[in-house]
Amino acid sequence: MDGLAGRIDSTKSYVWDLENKPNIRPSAETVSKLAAALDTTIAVLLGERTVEDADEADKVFFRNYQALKPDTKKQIRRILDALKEENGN
Amino acid sequence: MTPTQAAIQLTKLWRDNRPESRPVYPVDCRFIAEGLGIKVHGDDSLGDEFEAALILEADLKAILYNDNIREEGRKNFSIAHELGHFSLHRNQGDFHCSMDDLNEMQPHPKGIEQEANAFAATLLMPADDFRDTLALRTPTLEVVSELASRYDTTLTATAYRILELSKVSPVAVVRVRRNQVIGWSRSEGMRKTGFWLEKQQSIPDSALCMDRGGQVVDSELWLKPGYAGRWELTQSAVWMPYYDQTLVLLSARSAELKDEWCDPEEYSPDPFAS
Repeated sequence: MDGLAGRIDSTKSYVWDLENKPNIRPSAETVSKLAAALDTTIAVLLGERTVEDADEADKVFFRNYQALKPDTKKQIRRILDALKEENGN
Repeated sequence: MTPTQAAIQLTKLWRDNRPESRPVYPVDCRFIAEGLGIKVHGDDSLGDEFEAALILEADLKAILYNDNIREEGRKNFSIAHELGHFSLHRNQGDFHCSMDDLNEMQPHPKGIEQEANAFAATLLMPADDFRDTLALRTPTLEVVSELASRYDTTLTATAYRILELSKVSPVAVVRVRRNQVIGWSRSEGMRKTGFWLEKQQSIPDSALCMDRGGQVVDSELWLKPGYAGRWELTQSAVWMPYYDQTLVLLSARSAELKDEWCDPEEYSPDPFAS
């Protein structure tokens, strides 16, 4: 707790308050320092997103990846769109 | 979590939740994927340069594979490989990209590809069952072929699994195309035999007996003179036309102590013995 207090330029008792008082309203500056110190985002700290969501950028992994021909790329996109449509129904 | 631990978790999931009518093996990675909310789709309209991919987008989780891959075993391995990326790498930020920035796509670092392969091998061929089924038999391609149909895997992947799981037995796999070595690997125990091949080393026809069941061959075909006399080699091989290559499996045992694996250093002639 001491370490965290130091990293957000605050005191140990304020960190205790942050952890234990549901109605506490820290300043935007404090929240942003906290996010940096805890290696997370402001949205996660404010409970707007879970860590899982925050990480949910589009991703793709290939096996034995080689440069794809433009046709193959288009075809993959088309298949994915069809799968999404199936999902929606 | 290591690739092995992650794979064991999913194997358990399959063992405990599979439909009652299904045997434990082969492990059905399509079923596992669907259980994790991942669509599995094979498509035969894709170019040969595409093997398989895991796609994670906000409204779709999917494994897409090329249905033109000839062997079911290879499709299974590809799907299991992508499940490995899902289990191990989906929350690591630095090396994946989205479908839209494919042009800047770099090949994945080797490390994560190897992890996904280790994951796939463990998921499809769990060590405990694999060892029990292999039992104390001398590994030959006939045995490999039996294991491959149990797990629905390719001969090559299954042969490599034998190497991994043979800590002490001296075993080696060699892949040969037009009389040239294109790849080889050996188990820990095989080090003792001094077995070593150079890249693209040429292999004479006489060394490529095409016998699945295996036969004892002249050790000097594969081992250096200082070692050949001390080891008996059983060789089996099979021609794989799809890949235009021959898969060779070598299994060694000490010529002095026929029944047991032993360390040749311990049995070198003792000049002081009478």
